[in-house]
Amino acid sequence: MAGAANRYWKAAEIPAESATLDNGLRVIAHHDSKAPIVAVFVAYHAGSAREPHGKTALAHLAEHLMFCGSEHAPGSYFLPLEQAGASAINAHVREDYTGCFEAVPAGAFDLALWMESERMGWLAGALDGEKFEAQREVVRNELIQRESEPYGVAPRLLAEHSWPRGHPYSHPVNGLREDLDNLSLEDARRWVKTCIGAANATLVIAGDVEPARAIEKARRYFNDVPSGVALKPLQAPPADRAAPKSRVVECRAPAARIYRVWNVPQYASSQCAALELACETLSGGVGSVLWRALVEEDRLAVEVGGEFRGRSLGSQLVIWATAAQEKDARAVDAAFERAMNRFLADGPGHGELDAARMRILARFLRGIERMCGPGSRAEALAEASVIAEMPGFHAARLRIVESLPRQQTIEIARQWLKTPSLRLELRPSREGAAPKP
Amino acid sequence: MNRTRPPAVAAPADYRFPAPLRRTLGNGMRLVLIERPAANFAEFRMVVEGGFAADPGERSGLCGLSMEVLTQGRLDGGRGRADRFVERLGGAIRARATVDAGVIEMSAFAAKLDASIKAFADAVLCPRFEAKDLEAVRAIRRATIAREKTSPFALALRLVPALVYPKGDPYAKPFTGSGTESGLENISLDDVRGFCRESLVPGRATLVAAGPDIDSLAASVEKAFGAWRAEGADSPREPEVAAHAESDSARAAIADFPGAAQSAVFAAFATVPRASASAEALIAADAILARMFTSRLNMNLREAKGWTYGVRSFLGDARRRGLWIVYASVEREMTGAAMREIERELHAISDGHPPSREELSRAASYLSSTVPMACETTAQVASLVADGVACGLAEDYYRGFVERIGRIGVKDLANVVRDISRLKPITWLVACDAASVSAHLESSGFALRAFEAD
Repeated sequence: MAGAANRYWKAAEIPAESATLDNGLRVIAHHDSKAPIVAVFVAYHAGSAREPHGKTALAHLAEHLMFCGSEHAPGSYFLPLEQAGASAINAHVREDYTGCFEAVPAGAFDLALWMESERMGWLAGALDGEKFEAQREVVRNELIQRESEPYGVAPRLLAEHSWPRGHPYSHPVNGLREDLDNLSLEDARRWVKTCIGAANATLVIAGDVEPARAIEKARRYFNDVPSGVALKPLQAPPADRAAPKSRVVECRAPAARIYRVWNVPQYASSQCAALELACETLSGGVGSVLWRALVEEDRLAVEVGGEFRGRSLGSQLVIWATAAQEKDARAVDAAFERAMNRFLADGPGHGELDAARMRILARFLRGIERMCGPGSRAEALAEASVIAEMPGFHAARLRIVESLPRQQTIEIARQWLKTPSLRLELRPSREGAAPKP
Repeated sequence: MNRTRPPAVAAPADYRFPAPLRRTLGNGMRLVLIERPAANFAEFRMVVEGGFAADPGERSGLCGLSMEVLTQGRLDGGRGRADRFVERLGGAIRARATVDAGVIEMSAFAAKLDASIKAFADAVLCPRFEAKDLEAVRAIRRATIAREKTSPFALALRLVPALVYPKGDPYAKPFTGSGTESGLENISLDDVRGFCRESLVPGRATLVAAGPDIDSLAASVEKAFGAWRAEGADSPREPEVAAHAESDSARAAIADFPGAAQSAVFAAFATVPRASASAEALIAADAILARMFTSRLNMNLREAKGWTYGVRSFLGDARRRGLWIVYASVEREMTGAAMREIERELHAISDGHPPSREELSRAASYLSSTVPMACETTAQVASLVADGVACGLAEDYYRGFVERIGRIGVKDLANVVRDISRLKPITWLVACDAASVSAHLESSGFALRAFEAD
């Protein structure tokens, strides 16, 4: 079966110009004048993985505090930007970085740079106990709200049980409520001092501004931002794959759901392409191996989903199946296991593999149609800087996805996917009983 | 650099929503084409008049279920299921029921456009399915409804229409489009076949297609759909109109989430048709009251009081009357107080604390930039136009949107909110731990009854 023409694989390349300022700030600029909008994305190379032991939620709380004003721009971060017509102002904490971003009309580009440089360099002086307590309350409400959704406890449980104890990734990116309650203003000050600085940041500009001009403006607004501390790369021992775990937890959910997690190499490893292909073949859509086996043939599940999570210190495949009403989770799990074993024994068909290649490419291309937001061009460039210090990281990764021979894909899949690190079953809590907090 | 003052903001550049081309094929099917130069994807939305409003009450969910069965229909020539076939080409087919239309969507990778269009047309024109296919989809939809009931916002979308619209009204149905549990079980294979026969008629369909090479796209689409003939009636089946007059009495209900640490509070209103003159004033009011981060309610309940992670809002666009919900998940102990604040802000904006010039200008800026932001991807443009067609907007409606938003005045805004929220008591749904919250609410002055089973 013919794959996608070469020009579509080329479309995954995001041409960009780069510069590094004297204070260590990396700047990446990509031009697209399709709409008079500019996405501005600042990635701080410090995410939940850098939180000290017992102080999870610190990165998340600090991220909230970044919207509460700086020395020269007191007041809400949102106000001047919404007045100028920005409509996608947000931030998120990931394991490896904290991302702060907005999409602004091109005429507000300078304002966005000014606001971002302000909170990069002059946040500390504007922090106080009142803001700290107010945002702690908001974050507490956020954590409760997220866990009130069906399967809302999954991120916390998956992190805790699929990484070794004490591993930088063994807690959820948004933090634990018990730690949040114990944080102090001093903790927040220390985080800002250590992690929010030019030497730890990548500024991505994507949209209706010429790269040379974008970089020139970045210099103008960010040159005087203090470097801060240049963080050393994190180290962590690889996840121990010899000791698989199995857990069953009751929670708010309409039906049982089985998750399987496999720990695989760091995102920068060339082996990840094979594992992405395996994940896509196994769980990517209604034609996937597991969907056909569990949903269509056995009628044991109503859905199957999967995600390849590429991370600096180690990546994961996470695949889940939601049981049909009145179906036994054990039956689902047994069928899951059988289908996995068959896949590892026989490998994907050529047609199946080519289709997976195309879907991975299509998903990436769909994401980068946008300048700002999940999967967007700005996010892709920021992530490339964090993971590999290389704007072309994703295009290089996709080139391997395109061309990796079937036999190599099977061998790498067999090497890493025999036994899951974690098998987690989420079970609906009994009617009327309080869901676990 | 001098940091005493932020840099100036230049006036936003003119952004023109793309101009769609409109044609009607010989068989009566309307075609709306939008050019997206150099796009890697082409997007298709087949909008079929009717929607879940036209579902008979005892078979609520018929439109959505039938549309979903179609996406899984078997193609001839050994191509197998339509959705699976298109997925292998890097695309996707899905279906949903909105209040006024059933929509079948396809995202097609430009590398595989012809094969994708052919599969899409075959799925719509020659649906091939059997009883076992219906049962498979029914099982999945059972799970979908069960899941909606465990998520506060999805549950609210299911329950609120029955509170807001009169009993028996075609709109008094779950706004998620999934129908009721009993409705789902009542739908037979004959019902689904009958739905396809009557609704999948070219005269009741508009295909929105967006992508590169518009002439070639138009030619492919016309070739695939030009020969579509169907036996069903051309005029849409009118939804049953409510026999009962609108009730003036307060409608307020609790949905029990035992053990919930927060209360999800929903204030709901029946509003105006999407195509009406005051719909845009409502959009501006929604921005000022709840949609922007700097909205009155968000700055009040989240930033000033810390009672919630955020106040949000939902605007359900429809032909006959819209649905507006303002909502937040708040700390349990603050449930009554939060409801009082929401009520106060809703009344104040039309009485006592009208929007300031700055607020109007901020809302206009914010809403203006949503247009180019909503046109970044081909999928967004296609969906925007298709959803507009479904609720009675012209296909080029968004071309004048920014100018019209800029002309909205304080009075327009105040009037529309007053009409919606002052003439009768607010409709409330609170999803919470009923055991601990009911008594608290009564002492706050809210009398909510338990919601009857779905």
